[in-house]
Amino acid sequence: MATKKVKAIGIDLGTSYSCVAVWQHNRIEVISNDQGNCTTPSYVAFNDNQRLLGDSSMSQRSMNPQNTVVPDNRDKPMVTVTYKGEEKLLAPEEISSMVLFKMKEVVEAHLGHFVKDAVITVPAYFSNAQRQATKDVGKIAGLNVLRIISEPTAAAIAYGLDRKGLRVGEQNVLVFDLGGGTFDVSLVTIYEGMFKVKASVGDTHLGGVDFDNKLVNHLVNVFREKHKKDISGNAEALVRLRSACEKAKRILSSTAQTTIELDCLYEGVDLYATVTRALFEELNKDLFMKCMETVEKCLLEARSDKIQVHEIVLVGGSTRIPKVQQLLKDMFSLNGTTKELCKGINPDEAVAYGAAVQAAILSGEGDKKVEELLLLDVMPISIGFEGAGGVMSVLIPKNTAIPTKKERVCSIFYDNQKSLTVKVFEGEQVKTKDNFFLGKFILYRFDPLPKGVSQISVIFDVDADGIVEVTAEDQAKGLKKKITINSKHGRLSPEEIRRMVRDSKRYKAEDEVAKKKVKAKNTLENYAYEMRERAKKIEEAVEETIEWLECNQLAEIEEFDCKKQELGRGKGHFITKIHLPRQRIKFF
Amino acid sequence: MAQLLSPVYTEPLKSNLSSISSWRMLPKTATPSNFVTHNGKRRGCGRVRVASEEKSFSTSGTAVVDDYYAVLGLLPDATPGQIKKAYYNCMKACHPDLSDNDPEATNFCTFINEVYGVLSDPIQRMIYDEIHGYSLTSINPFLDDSSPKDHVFVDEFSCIGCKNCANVACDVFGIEEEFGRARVYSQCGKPELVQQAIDSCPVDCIHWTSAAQLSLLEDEMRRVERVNVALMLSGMGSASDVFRMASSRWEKRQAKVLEQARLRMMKEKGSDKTDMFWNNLWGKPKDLSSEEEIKERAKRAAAAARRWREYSRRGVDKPPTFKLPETASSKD
Repeated sequence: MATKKVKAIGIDLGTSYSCVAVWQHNRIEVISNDQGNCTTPSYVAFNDNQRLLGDSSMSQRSMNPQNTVVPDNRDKPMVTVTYKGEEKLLAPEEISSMVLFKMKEVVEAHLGHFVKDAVITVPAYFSNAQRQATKDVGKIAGLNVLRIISEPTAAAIAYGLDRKGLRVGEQNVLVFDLGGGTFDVSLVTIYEGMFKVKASVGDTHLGGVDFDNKLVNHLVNVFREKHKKDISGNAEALVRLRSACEKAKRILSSTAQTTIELDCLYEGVDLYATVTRALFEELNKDLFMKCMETVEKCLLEARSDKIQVHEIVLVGGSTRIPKVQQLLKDMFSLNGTTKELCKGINPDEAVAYGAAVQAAILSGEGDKKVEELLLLDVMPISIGFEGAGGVMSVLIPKNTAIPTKKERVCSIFYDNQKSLTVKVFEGEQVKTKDNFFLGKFILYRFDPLPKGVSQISVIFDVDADGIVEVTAEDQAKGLKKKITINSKHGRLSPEEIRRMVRDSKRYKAEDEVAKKKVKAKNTLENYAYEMRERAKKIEEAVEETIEWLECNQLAEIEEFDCKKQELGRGKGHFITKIHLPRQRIKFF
Repeated sequence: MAQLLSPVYTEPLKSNLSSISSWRMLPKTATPSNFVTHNGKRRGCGRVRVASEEKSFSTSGTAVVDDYYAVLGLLPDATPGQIKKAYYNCMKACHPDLSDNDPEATNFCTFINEVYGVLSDPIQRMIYDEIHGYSLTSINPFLDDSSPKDHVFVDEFSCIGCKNCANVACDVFGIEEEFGRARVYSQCGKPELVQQAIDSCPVDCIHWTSAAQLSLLEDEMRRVERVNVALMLSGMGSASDVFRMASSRWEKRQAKVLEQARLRMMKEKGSDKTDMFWNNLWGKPKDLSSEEEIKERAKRAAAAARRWREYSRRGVDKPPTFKLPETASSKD
């Protein structure tokens, strides 16, 4: 092991907000950004002059809605923005890399030196391809990604470290992660410092944004009925409305009622609406029940009962919604006893906190407390290869503990077949065409044999990092072929990654130019103000001299010379000294 | 950098030593004089073979981990809670995250995950126990004629490495690299070709077996030492009857289980203890799963035994020595 200790950071890369933490001063510290916030908006904005990241991108969102983007890991593939007067096509990975770049800058500004290694969190339902894509994102942003871990696992780590002293025996922790755009429920077993994910269930289309949209749609309808105008096609109005609804949602977490007032929202018409907590809960009733159904599904998949859950950890800003907490509490309150939710962990920081713990473990940093922790990971999604008739032949089922190794023997499909294509897929569907294709390779030079005779061993080997290596072997002929899935077959090709890295550096350089321009402008402005102040003083001195001259036409040569020097030096106080001796001379 | 042996490493040896010493106290069970096999060509055994068998067992027993339980440092009557605790302790000792991604640690970790996958699944564990003689009610697979003999095994103590079977059924048989003998590499070949290889074998070293028998035979092959063909033919090395050895070991295991159950029953008269794992075994219904699933799981167990043999050859099932990460004090 290298003697130099390299700082490794933990990053919670969220759909709406991101957070960064690091092991420092013998504990995990969540790092605030340049605005003093522990979470940074996951927004990127482009305008005619520059690219904006973090809070500055958020603050100008309503004025520049078309060119303010957020990494959407759900459906939208590519995004078009106008940057410096040109249209740019951006992949989701590029946008995410800009957010990661911002988080990297935040922590580097705090630590005072460069960082390279990072553990990044992703939603639990992310497939291997999506996790590899996230690693690519880190690479584009200039990071060496040590590990991709699931958000609920990171939250459980944060909880486990925080409450270590209270733990007796095995604990089952339900991690309820309701963020801005994603929803995960996981059951994590904590046992003597070791974390094992028993089950993870997620919903890719559920989060705080969806709650906001319910309120937005409601108010769009109210506006239409009241003023006979449809604002749903107006991007600027919708952004203002959505921003106000998000704010109202937050307020309703602590009060029963609030008002939304938007002047001149659309065609000169104002919006004024009273929103109650009851209304908000009614609008989102279906979504809240969907959350609870997902909890049930998670327990079913983990083969656990509610009675076996010891703690419920809340993660994500949307868990502050009182109705959500109430429903969770009711679900787990059995036999008359009330189940309390864990609120000692800040829901916005827990994931980054846990990621930083894992980063400290993997980089060999940290103290004994951290070294006692161990993350036992599982396969997030089933993986296998294509069998006869396009059937998915699963070799490593979902939730299998890793590292693991599985083998399956398959045969050729028709007489005298001379080659075999092994196609690797991941997913839970019966047919491979409904699952995600990861990669393939071909084994050549078979001897001609009737079908069903020649046998090929297919071996799947997954290491602790989740790297999948697939080997196909014809034992009789000694033919062997293998591919490593995750290092070569993410969604982005190596050429695309290189292009994005170059783009990232160019964006950074252009950001530097923009910063220098602003700095130069500020410098000039300060200099101009300073010069104006100096000119003002000189003018005053000149006026004084002229005034003296008018009253002293008959002064001596020495006095005239002295006055000239005084004006040149700009020292006005000398005049007083001149006057005193003159008065004495006149008297004599 | 301080080097520490895994604390788990000593436990399997201790378990083995204690179990071996207790086995010697057991009354000797009369071993069956012959095995019923598909082709019925096995010969009887002389007294000399029995003596060499015992000698071989006592020497190899001190070095080789006996079973999945011993890998985790447990005895076969371990409760599920004990199995889980032992698994976590193994993970803490060997996980690559804590050993700087040592490939040796990764391999061992993979092996432990497989072992735990079997023992933590109640059905799979039950099948494992039945195959290996840790069940009170199961039948010695070598005396059980109800299971189909659809697996094939090469007795490498008879094999002379003539390569005939590898030519006849090249997708099933291969020649292993160490000693030049035949070995089965795949159990999915055409039965007709396999039968042809058996019929044409000059020394009758290929046998049809059931999946359970194959598990035990592969397990036995993991323990014993062999020499290359030339030395064997010239009379060196011990000629071992692997079928008799596997069956004998099975009988010893079940006898021990029966004895322990008997002792516990006497001790617990008047006691209300119900937490021991074996207390429920008498009443456990055998048909928890369908017939098809039981067959599939037995086949999986045979494949796992085969893999452990490969692991053992490469030394993967030995806990690695590893280096703890340095305790770092942050200088910031």
